[in-house]
Amino acid sequence: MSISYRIVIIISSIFLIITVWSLIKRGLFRPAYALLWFFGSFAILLLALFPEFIPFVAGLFGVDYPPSVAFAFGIFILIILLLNQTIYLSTFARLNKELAQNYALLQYRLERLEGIVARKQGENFPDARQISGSEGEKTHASAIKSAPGERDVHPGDINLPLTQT
Amino acid sequence: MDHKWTSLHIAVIIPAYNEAGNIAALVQEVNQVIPGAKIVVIDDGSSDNTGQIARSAGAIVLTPPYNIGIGGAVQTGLKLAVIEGDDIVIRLDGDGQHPPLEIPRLLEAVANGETDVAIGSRFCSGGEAPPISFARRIGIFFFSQLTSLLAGQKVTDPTSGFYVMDKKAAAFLSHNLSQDYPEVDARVLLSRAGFRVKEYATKMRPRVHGVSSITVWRAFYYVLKVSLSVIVARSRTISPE
Repeated sequence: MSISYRIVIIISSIFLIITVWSLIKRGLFRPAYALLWFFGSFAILLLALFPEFIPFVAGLFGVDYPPSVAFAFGIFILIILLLNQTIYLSTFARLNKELAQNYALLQYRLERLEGIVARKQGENFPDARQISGSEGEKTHASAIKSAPGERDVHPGDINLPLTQT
Repeated sequence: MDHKWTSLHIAVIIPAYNEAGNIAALVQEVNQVIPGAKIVVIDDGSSDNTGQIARSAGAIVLTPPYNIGIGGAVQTGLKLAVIEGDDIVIRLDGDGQHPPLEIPRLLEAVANGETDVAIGSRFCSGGEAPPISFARRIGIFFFSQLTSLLAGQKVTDPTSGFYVMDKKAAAFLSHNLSQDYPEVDARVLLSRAGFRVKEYATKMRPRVHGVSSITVWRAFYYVLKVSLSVIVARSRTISPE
């Protein structure tokens, strides 16, 4: 391997490490996700610093054309990174779905609650006009409080964990 | 009516995506067949006014903020039924292909404890063969063989979404239903979890308005994806509850 080629690789890998680092610093890359990138870029740096490693591995496995070991190595890193991406993507898709589901459920419960509150307020309206402001608020508060109890099945189930799937 | 199920809390879950033309009639029909049942339409990111129409027809409408797929939509309805403690959950397709008139028979079977999950099948003996294309028939034959093998019991109509299930099965599926191809997977998952699943011959109707979500172009890809999904369903981790 020529000296100039080694220098190019060393500089590129250092550049990659710095890029990953600055992305983390600017909050564009979560440290947890960056670990693999660090491993990858450090591995490239090490290979450029100790190029004897590649012919050594080639000899070990009886590879006729040593540079192909370097390619295999690079592809291996990429596959690991891609697998990792797919895992994250699937996780996010699942979380996203759950978020949408809980949104729909909470929206329904909110609308229902609003309906109950509106009805209660309507009922209390004649009284509220006669009594003073602070007491009027109290009636309002009790109307809200009694609302979940009106649902015949599980009173107060607004606190049920919706996230378990 | 002095059916056993009249005293039960029944939820009817209808996932609907752009079914403005079908949904009102379906909701009204269900209401006539099982009066008093809670009808939950999941308007899964429709671009038409499916949700609005369903609401004026008297259904509860759940509206995810964007399309989350039929499995996700059904799961939303199941979660609501579980939260509200419903005894029996019925699942129908929003296109109206599952005639509500067939519900009582399936319902009776579940309410009597004959089975945990009753599924309407187009191909069960005694049923009338529906007018479907040859290619589709081959696909369904392939799936029914594969699903029967993986579920360890005879499955004649694996893609049927016409389900009547008891509380426990609903709770189980509300945790484990897959997002993309829920029906086929569910057969394998339910049998793995030890639920009794029975098929009943039911007539199905062709859709009246709108287009089916499965196109010919996607059919081949569909077969591969569902096969993988159902094979995975055999081994993927399921949560016990």
